[in-house]
Amino acid sequence: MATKENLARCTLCPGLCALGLGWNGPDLPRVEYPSDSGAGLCPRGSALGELLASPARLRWARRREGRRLVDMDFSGAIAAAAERISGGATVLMDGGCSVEEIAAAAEIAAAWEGVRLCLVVAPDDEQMLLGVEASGANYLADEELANCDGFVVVGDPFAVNPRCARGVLDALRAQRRAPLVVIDSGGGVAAGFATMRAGCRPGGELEALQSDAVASAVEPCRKLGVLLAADPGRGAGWGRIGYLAGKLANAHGGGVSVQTVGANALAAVRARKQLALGSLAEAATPGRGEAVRVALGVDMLGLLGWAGPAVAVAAAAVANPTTNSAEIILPLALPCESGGTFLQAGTRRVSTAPLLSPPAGVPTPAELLAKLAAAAGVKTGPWSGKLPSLDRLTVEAPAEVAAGSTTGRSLVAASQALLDAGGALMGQASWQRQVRPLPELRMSPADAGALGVADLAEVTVETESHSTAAKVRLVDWMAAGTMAISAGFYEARELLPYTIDAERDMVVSRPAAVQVSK
Amino acid sequence: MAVGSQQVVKRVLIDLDRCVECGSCAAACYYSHNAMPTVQTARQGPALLPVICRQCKAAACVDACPVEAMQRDENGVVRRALLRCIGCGSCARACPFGVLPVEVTHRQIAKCDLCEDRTAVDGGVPRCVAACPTGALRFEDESKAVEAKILILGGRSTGQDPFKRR
Repeated sequence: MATKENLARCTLCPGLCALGLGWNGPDLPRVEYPSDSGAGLCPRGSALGELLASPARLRWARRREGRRLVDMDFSGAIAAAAERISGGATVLMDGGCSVEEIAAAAEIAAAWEGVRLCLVVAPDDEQMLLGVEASGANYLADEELANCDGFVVVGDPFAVNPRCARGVLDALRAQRRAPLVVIDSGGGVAAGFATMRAGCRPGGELEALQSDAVASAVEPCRKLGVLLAADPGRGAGWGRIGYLAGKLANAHGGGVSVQTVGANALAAVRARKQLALGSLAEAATPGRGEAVRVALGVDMLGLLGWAGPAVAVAAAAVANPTTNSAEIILPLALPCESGGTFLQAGTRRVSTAPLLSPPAGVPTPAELLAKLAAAAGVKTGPWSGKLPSLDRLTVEAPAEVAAGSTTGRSLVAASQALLDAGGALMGQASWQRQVRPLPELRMSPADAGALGVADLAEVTVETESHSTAAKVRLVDWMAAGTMAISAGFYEARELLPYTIDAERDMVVSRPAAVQVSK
Repeated sequence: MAVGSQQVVKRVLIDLDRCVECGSCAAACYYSHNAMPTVQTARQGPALLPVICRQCKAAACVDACPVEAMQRDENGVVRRALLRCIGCGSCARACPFGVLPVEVTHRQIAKCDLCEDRTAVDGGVPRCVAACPTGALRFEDESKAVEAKILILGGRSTGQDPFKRR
């Protein structure tokens, strides 16, 4: 596998953009932008500097006593947490961590009887990646997209990783007749550049991808780039979409560019299989595995749109819905405070350096798990340094998925470049809070006219599970009857909560019937 | 501050055909200028346009400032003198392009200085340009844009209709 040099990099998406450290004052770190990186940095990466010293950071341990939170010393909290999980626990670990963190945590969990480690990747991303792995398609790095002569885009990868748009736009500028087919029921920004927008009902991406119209549009392509981004609320078809997209790319001599939440989702999916670790579906299913859950950097409730309590011990860099309901809360390093190896484009190992050391005493996920194991009397020893191979998985093609049916107006979720999944981290960033205090509700002008609402109007969005305020954004290319809400808000996730599909062993978020009122 | 009369040589140009509305430019400006951003975004129909100071040759903000806080420096960059600005907002109201924020932060008007700490170095570009993931923002000599037949529109460049993609 190829390797890249050791710079500090943003690990919030597969772009792995280089970043530096600057200071607004002696205690006010900020991100600096290397002029020669040629990659840029999206608003999520820019916010990391502020979050390093944010007052919102969790810096010490706390214990919940009734409705109060009581401060604890760190060693006392570790002892209490170890006691709480002494009878066995399911440990959820963020799959966006470096490969070293994953491997070290897996070794500790293997030595700890009764503890099951589950690597958590955004559920739709995981299904999609397994589908692409099964297809045998090549993975394309962002810069390789510029060599393609046509594109199929599913979802809105430009929002998940704006850097991938550069290669696409370079190719389109060089070849004015290159097709750009966009399949997105969420009205994302990629559709604004499309030469063809495939008709797509809410969550109907799979159906559209298999259509004759898409096949004929890309028929002349000799190197087809297929860009995928799996947004929530679109149903159970992401595995099949990943598989068919890979096959389509193979048939046209091209490859697939998968844009995921977190830079290491593909490595986590591969490591999970190779190290026989558990999944989010396993950890979230009641009655399966240990009832006591420990979340290491995973905002399980925020990700799934669930209400607590569900997690006994939660560690995070900033408060999130999971820590807000946990019994014991522990501080954790930010993603940019621990370096390591990340897998890019399927084969390329990228080493990153930490942007800054974590605050004194604040551990990384693997360090925290080691401390918990030591407090529980488990002899683990130092990490062996052995990494999983991260070779391509041999998995079966995902099964066919029946097209769901929706009636009336339906709601899906859509990614935005300024927010992360569930909004746990970026919800604390000041610029993000200023420019997007409310979720954005995209809808067609026809729907807005029928509802009597104007662009930027504040409305109440209601589904069967939840209701929240949102700001209307009119999007010309959205189909009437479909609305999309910003996926980066926990409130939006509550509108489209995941449900457990025991038959397929996965969690699924489907489009929901929606009511909008002024 | 030395007062100059020449116009700035390089300006920030925006290729709207490449802008994916990610907001990276505005976020980079905000986080590196103590929450006093000078890159604004404005929605016009389907497009979200980044709005950046074009460092005018005949700068209305300089003429409008009652305390001479807005001045052109020796490099042609129109700058706001930190200790002179009284936050009256005259410059923001005088700007014909609406690039100065009317909201006063910390009792002062935020003003783009083209990130002089970076551009003073050879090859350095302002942070908004460095942060742009798609290459939509460029820091270039305006004459080169004219040579390349890129339309200049209020400091922005566009290949086609300003509000239409591709």
